[in-house]
Amino acid sequence: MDSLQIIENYLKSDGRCYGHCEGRAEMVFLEKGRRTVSCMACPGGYVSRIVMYAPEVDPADLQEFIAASAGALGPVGEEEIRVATRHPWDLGIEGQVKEDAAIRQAYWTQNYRKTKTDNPSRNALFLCRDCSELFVSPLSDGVHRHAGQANGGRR
Amino acid sequence: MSKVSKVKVVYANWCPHCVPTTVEPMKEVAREIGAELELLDIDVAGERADEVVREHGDWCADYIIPQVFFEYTDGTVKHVMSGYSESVDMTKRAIANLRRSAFYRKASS
Repeated sequence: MDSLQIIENYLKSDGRCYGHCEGRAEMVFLEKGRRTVSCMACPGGYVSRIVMYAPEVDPADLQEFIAASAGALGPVGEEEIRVATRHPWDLGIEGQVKEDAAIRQAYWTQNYRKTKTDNPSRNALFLCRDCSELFVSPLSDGVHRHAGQANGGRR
Repeated sequence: MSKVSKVKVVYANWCPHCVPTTVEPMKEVAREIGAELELLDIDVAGERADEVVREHGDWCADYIIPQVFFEYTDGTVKHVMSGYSESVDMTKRAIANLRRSAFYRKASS
């Protein structure tokens, strides 16, 4: 079983938008390959969380990914990245992977434990629902549409 | 063959992935295995909890809780699971999977 199968079959989850609205946040893949990156985004495009998956995940790689996506939000601190090892026995896939560590994850949660949450016009990270590209936009804007690289988007 | 002598749980009382989701089943796990249970509340035993996670677990500055470890009679410590930030339900499912696993059967035999 490869990493993508593990992610799609055992780590894919939808949830509630965190820090923006009461809407449902769905998992959207941003990158698939040697490493996989997903985000949780609500119908308004607000990104609650970004997750990187790899056999050996380096928190610095996720910091770099977010800096490239959300440079306008300011630097992502080491303390904002959390890591987890998923084992075959807790995923329920013993016998399908050989290693004790089936996959590793690094998580970044937007605005997690930050007091600036209270500012309604602060910049926030969004996912464009048209082109699946991340971009930074003021939280108070009613409609979030990607306007190109000028506002910090990335492909 | 080395046996599990201690089940260590790094947790916090305010964390829904921890209490009751993980701590209660781990009390049962320790009983089933015949091992001591060591509960490391990060708000009470922070330094000890940090030490266990730093040496054996998923360490980072603001590490995920809960984290569960098995300590064996030969002194080795194995990371068993970390909470699933995705949802409490996924953490519950991971614990259920663990208790059904061959890894667990081996630990409890």
